[in-house]
Amino acid sequence: MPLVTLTGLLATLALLASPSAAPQPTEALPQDLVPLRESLQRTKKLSARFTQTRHLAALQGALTTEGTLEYEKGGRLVWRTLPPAESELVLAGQKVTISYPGMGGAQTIDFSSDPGMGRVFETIRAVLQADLEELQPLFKLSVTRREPLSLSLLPRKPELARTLRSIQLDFDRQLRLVHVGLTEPDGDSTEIAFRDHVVQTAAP
Amino acid sequence: MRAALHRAHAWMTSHLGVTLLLAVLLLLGGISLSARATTEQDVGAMLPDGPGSPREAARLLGEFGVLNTLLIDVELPGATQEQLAARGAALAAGLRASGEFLEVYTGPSAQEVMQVGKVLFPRRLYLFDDPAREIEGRLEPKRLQPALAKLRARLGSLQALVTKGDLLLDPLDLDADLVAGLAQQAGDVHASDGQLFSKDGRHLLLVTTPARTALDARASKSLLATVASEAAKLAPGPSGRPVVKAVGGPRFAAESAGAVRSDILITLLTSLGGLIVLFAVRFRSLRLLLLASVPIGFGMVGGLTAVVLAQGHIHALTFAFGSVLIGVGIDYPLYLLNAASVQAGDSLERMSAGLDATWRSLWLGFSTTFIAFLTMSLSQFPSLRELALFAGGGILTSFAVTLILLVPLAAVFGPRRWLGIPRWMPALRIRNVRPWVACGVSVAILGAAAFLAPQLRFDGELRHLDAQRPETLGEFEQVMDRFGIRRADTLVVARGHTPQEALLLNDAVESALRRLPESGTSSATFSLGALLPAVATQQARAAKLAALDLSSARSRLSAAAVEAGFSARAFDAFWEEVSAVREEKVAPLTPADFEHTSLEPLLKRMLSCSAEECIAVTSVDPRGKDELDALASSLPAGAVLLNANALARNTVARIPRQMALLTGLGLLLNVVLLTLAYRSLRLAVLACLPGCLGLAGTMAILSAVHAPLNIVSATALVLILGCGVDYGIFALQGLASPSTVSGVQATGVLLTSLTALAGFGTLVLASYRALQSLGAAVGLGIIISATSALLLLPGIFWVLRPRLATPARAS
Repeated sequence: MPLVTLTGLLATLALLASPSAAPQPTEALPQDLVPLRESLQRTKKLSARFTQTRHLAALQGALTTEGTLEYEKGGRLVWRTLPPAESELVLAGQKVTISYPGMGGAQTIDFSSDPGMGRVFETIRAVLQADLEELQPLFKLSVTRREPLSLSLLPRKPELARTLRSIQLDFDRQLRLVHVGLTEPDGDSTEIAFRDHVVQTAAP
Repeated sequence: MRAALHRAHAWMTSHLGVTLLLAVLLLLGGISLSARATTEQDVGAMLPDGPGSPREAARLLGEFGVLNTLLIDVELPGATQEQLAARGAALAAGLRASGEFLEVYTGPSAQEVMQVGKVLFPRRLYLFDDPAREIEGRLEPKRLQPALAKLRARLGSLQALVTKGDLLLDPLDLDADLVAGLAQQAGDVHASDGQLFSKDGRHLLLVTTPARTALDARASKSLLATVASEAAKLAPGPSGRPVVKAVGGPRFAAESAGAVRSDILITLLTSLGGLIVLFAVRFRSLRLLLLASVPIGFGMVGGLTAVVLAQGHIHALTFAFGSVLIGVGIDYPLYLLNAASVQAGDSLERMSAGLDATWRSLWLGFSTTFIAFLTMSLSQFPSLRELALFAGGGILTSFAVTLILLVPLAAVFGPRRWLGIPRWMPALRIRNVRPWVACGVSVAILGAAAFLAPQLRFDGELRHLDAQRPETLGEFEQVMDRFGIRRADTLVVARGHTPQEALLLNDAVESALRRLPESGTSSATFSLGALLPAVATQQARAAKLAALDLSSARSRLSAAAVEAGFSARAFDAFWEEVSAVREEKVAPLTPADFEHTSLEPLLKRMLSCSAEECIAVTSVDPRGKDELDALASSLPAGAVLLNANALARNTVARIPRQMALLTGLGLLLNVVLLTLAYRSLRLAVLACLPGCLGLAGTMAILSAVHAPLNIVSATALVLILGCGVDYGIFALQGLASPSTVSGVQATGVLLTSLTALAGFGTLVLASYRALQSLGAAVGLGIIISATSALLLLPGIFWVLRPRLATPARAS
């Protein structure tokens, strides 16, 4: 992985994880989100395919990539982008490994040597897993639609707001995450649509 | 003087308590003085010092070498890279916790990489020799299209959510090549998971720096034990136990020390056994062996005191080899005791008479040996001067103790009944080697030496002196090759009054080295210029950017970008960076930028300043002598090429050569001294003949068997000369005396040569090559010179003896 990519990633994430971006005191979760929380708590394992569409000012058209997401509660989260833009991000315990199989090289970041970095990746994991407990201190959550559920997340802190203007999380009727919309302050946006969910849940 | 000495001996014999007390106080005084000395272990300290000196070269080559580095190679059969990394981390943690390591380096952490990236990437354009040409080259469609396609693919990754800005700053893929260039300098080591892996990912490397110097053999041994014990704690892999190999300076040192210990034990026991047999056969008294050892003990302390008083410190090698040289001091007690044994009267009378009988020869023998050490002190090499001081001081003390203390000691503690010379010994005064045969053999030896000695090789490579096991060396080479670690045998040193001056010259060196591959000779180099060019160089590079037609370049990139699906202004930030560098709005890189980064230690090693000057060092790995010559001729003025082999060839190899010359000078001075003493040049030449034949024969044989002369065996030349001339002096005294005396002197020569063989010749059994070469050289020299004194000298004496020579002249 080119050093600059990693550097940029880490630098930006380090900024997000700076003390000033520390989580706010937890507020009570809105009642509308309690079923979602319970559903997520029952999820033991999940895999899904995704289509990511990125609209960047630097690009003439949309940039679409396909891939898979897998995660296990308390275990690994694997974000795999399929060719031609092949890459893999594995979040496991106290480490994240980013690799570009087609281009050679991998870089692992150990959170034990940098707890701030660890918090950042936990945030990414929280967004992808729609982990409300994690997200609530960082974002102001509001329900934009109850059926099927749709949430809007607005950063609570200016440091985070410099990277993300808002996040939209859409769920289907089974409370599975089917869409993530990320809007950046410069107007660039990313839409991630999830499908073919395979969910393994614990008994209620 | 002799009369006064006899009176003193009588007083000391009757006041032995006071004598012993004074002797012990003197000895203790010398020991306590010597205890204040610091011991030098750096081999480079043996070489001449000063800026650009061989000592500085040896120090730099040592710093960049692996002397104080222990490389640990970990393999986990059948395991994944992740599992291997886990074992590597566990081993590193165990080693760090042991407290025996100054540093255990596993690989750069992400944070360290990020830190370095923050320093380097904003100023990346300064790191290209000609940034304008670099940009132009990368705007060529065949390079630009793949770069843009790669960039587009990267923008699609999840992490691009946050790295978008950095990615768009690098449309020409400058960073990847810059990183690849830096990585290439680190060898074939592949950094991942905060660990260093071999190319195939099956081996992991830990680079450790011991807390104590590798030359501290005990610490090195303990270090290796710690590695072994921590390795044993590692959990097995899918196909077996982890395989951990530790190679480098500490292992060489520990194994060498072990070999030396066993060598010393073996040779000590062998030589002690030889001496016991000799004293038992000749004197039937082991008490005399103890008494004869007293002057040697004093000699050691005397030599040490002389060095400490003169310079306050002593090199470990001086002490080791000097002690061996002082061992020749046992010859004086032997000649004295041998002569005393055939005298009449009580013990004191015997000893006094023995001293009278050997007085002149003892003095001549001592003087000639002392002259040999004095000539050695004329050397330009500090090591040889120190050795001369130590051995000269030791021999002087040992001789003085023989004359002063041995007589009363032997009178009191010697045997009550002295055994005369066994019958077979006087028979050694043989003249059955006919004069023409003796002359012919001597001429043959000298002729062979004249023919072969010029072909004698001088080996200055200090590494050839130790006891490296081939398997250990093989493992070391294997690990170095596996991780593509370059040997730092060749360095280019750039000097300047300031760090920037040194860096500027270093940039010129780098530029010269970069041109070499174009001329067909290729070197792998590790230059500071890749990371930190001089500020002036960076400014010149920024100025070169002025040659870039910015608007044309920008429009070409825009056109290609649009074609690749980017917007026309996607890379505006990149062009802003180019403009900022052109206008010198971006501060150039300075050494201070790397403070507190993972590159700081490397920078400190490669760029260092003393009160007088600063030096920047570039490590080069030339492929052969031709390339080395090409390198040397291509360097800019002021830059110096240091090569370990060349250093050995040109500097250290001068030590044996100089030793040979100084030995020749010593021989000449011996002839002059003996001519004055004997008032006969012929007798002087005759006395020196056994020493000459010993020297000549040794060099001829070493040359014939292609054994090079090294720094240790070269010092043996002095010993051969010293002993050989002594044999000549005593044999000549016997030849010019009545037949009874002749037998005594021949016995003396035989005894001293046998003790020398027992003491030094047995070193040939050693596995430590320094000791082995010393044993071989001394053994040959002693055998040839003693045989010459006993068998050839009588024949030659009858041919060359002065017509008017009377027995009294040589006795």
